[in-house]
Amino acid sequence: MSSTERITGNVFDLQRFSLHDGPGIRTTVFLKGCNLRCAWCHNPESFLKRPQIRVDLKKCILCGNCTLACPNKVHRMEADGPHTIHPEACTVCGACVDACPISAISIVGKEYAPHEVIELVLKDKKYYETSGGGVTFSGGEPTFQYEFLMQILKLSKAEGLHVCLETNGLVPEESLQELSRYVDLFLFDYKHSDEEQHRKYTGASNRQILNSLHLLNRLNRPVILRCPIIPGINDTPGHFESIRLLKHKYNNIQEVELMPYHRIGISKWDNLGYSYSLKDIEAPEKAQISAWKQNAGLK
Amino acid sequence: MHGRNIMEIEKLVVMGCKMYHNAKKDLDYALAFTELYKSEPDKALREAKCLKMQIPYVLEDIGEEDLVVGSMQHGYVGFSPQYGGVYTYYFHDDMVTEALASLGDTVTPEYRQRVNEMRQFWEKENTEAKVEERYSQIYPEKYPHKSYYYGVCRIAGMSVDLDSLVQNGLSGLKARIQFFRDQNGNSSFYIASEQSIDVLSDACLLYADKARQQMQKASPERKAELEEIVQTLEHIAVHAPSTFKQALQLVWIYAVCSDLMNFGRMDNYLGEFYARDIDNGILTEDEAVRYISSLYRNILKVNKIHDSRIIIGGLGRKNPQASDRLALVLIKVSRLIKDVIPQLTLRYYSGMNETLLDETLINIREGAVYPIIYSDDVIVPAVQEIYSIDYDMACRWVPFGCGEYVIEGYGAGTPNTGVVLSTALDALLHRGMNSFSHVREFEDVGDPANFKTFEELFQAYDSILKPIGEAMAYHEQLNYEVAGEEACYLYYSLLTHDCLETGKPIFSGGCRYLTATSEIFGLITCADSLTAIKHCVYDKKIFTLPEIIKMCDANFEGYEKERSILLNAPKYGNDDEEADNMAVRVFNHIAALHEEAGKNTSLYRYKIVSVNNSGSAERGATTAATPCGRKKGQALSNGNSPSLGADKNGLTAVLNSMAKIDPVRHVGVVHNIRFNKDLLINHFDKIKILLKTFYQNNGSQTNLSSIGKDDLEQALQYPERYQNLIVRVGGFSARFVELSPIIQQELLHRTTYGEV
Repeated sequence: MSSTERITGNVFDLQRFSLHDGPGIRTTVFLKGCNLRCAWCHNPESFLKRPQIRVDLKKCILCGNCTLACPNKVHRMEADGPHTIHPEACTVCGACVDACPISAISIVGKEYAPHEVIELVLKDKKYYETSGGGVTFSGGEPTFQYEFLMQILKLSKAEGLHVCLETNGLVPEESLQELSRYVDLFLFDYKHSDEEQHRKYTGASNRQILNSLHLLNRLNRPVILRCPIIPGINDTPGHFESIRLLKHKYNNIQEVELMPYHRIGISKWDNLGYSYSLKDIEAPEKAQISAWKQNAGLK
Repeated sequence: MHGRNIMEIEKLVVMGCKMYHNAKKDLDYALAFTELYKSEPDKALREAKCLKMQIPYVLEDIGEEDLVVGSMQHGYVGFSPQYGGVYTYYFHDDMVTEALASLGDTVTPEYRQRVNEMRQFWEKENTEAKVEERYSQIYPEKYPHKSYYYGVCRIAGMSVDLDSLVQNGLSGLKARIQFFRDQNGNSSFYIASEQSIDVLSDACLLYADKARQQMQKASPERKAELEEIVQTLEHIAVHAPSTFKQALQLVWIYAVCSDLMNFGRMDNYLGEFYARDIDNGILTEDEAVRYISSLYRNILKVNKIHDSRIIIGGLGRKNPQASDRLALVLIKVSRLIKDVIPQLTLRYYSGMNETLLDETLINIREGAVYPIIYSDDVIVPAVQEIYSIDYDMACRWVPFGCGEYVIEGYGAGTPNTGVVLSTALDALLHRGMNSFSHVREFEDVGDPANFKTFEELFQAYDSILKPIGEAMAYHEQLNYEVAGEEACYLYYSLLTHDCLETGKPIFSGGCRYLTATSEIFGLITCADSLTAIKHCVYDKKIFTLPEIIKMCDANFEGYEKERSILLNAPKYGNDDEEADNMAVRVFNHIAALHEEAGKNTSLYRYKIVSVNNSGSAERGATTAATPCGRKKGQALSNGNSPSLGADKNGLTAVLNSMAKIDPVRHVGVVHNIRFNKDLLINHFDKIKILLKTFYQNNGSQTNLSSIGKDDLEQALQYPERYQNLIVRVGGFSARFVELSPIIQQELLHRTTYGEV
């Protein structure tokens, strides 16, 4: 008991009245840290497991207070800008947050004990019960904080909650097998069917991911396959064909959701001091999305 | 329906009314009315005589498309139960002066003299002046009139037993009078009540004549309609209604003659008429839609935007199935005639016909703001406890006006006082001075720098509010007392239980539940400010209290960083324990203050409501910056809704915060919830479940709307394209483009919930 009590995890957001991450009305808990680096990621604040700073560059008035306050030169500013962020050296001491006169700097990620997360989740329990909803753990890659995740999964089930886990599938087999006992529905990301392309755009091979999908089928755990479609990267006939085949092959896949590329997350990259490589890609039109759905054999 | 500002607007509307006939004729009428008034010392007989003279004079012609007939325009002088002159007998001196001036030399000096004598007479014979005078005998000030609390004189929000009207008809009501007269002995009250019914019969016959006259020039279709109108009116002048159309017409004629502004549980009292006529093939749904549309247009013409409630649904209806059938038609008409009134109101309860809720949400999705939804699951048990009444009686609760509960046909609950908590707090932090107006409001209770703990601060807050409770409660009591001395309010006594039964008029001991309500403004602004102070000064010690006061005094100019810390302090509406507990504490404190004060009066109960209409924005315009981070002039919080833009944790969180307020501590709150239209389109079922869950778990009310911020921004830019955009401001609805800029800004800054 005492050893598990000491486990804490980093959570960067907790969204209530979440309607898109599984059935019913849900709360989605976003765990920090990811083992992939997808070029199109719209939650780049989830990359690092540890807390980090974020600057709202649109709000920034270029006063320079943060450059003076920071002992590690994380904030840099030429005369009249721009304000650039160099997060590598950041110790998250919070000096810049205090120094900013307009509260444009914040710390992303907060440490929670497992029971603290569950207490927040339980605030909407009555809405889960009436709507057939529950809790969804997302990220980042939630399994990246495996021990913490296991604790909150167990607590969720002890409270009788319906649990969804959103995962990229890059999970050791034993871990997945163990945690699958506490998950009612997997929201499984499937990004690219070509191993090399997968490696190029996410930083890892898709082999383990496909194994995970296979394992979940073997364990007969329900899956919703979620496929981000990025124009020019994976909107290929081959990839759509493979989605169709997966759906056909695994009868535990209840549904396939295409997640068309959008640009909403771009400014987040800048605010964290990261550079975004897909700046030239435009979000698809409605007609394009319909065509993709057809290609993937979806209605 | 609250506050001096609203009263002033209402008075202006009255003043602005055109002269009904012509100046000379109207003055002649005013003189005759005055003479009649003076000639009869008995208040009951006087009222009956005045009604008999007044009603034929004020009734207007039938409109060209009317199917439900009747409208009226009050004169310079008259008896007005509710809105003509606001309070009992009224006299519009400025209109009389203007009329006299317009006549110039066409009248004799003697005539002028008579008119001036009449003016002098009414200057003293004025109900409001009588209340003021009596109030000043106890309290040195003339009136409760500080910027942080007020009192007004009126009778408002009457909700009578219209079922008794349509079941008995005018002849049946006469028989009731006879029955109780035989039991209790004769009295002028019974005689006058009988006479007042004759006045209603005469009004029906007068309209039948008017309809007959119109038939001569009417098209064949209109002629057929008028013929039916004549038959209907002649029937109800004598007999109890036997059809839907007759019952509807009787209710409307009664409302016109009695100034009734709230129409109660219409599906309950008309539902069986409707279902029977439909089933017997003498009425079609289309016809019913046309008749109800005519009723809606009549209500719009009267234009009482803070009243005009029609209630549907709810527990305790005599025939729920028949009532539901009519309720669906009423919902449909509210979709067809998307307008600011009537304020159609659905009483939700677990197990009710789901279609009513579905159709309601479809209305909202399509840009209507009605029906407003209240939860019987929450309110019926609360009302039982509040009034110490049984379940059946509690089922008779209805919200009137902006949402004050009364027991239909058994009570009155005029909302004649109010408190502005944010202003009280401001004065407390400035040693008794309102820092916006720089007027000293109350005694100095100490230097804020000396409040060593939050509890000391709260004690000071309590000490400044305590004395006003007693003054306001006494004011409310006087309002009823003087009204009862001046008149019997015959039409309301007729349809309020225990009046005929005991032979006592409504405000002279006849009404069983004579309650009063006080409207609280800036409640959440005050609570969030106290939370910010507690959090930043006493708990985290980020600032001192004098520092916060200094920031507010500077309207946060040069204190942007500090302001953002105050804004980031916990806020009500996020399911945050600290902020919500403070809101509950502030709420319970002001509730208890009223409850206690009411005990020393003849009021059955004295309770608070948190149902602000445009007053939250208007009062905000004259309120200094507040410690919650709100800047000078910005709108105050509205009802029990969060401070503007402070709810950031999603819909469930805001609903959870709202559900923490104890429903037995008030008789009406409003919760404004605005969805993005797409949310209702894409997630209709989830929204429905969300709301049902709220209504079943302490959520008493919602004002729903799906008009997004984008729509409002467009409407500001292109008002000509958005003439029909109806928005809910809190306790009432309005055309967005007609609202004042400060209210438009308030609406713009409310949170819109969309998909996450």
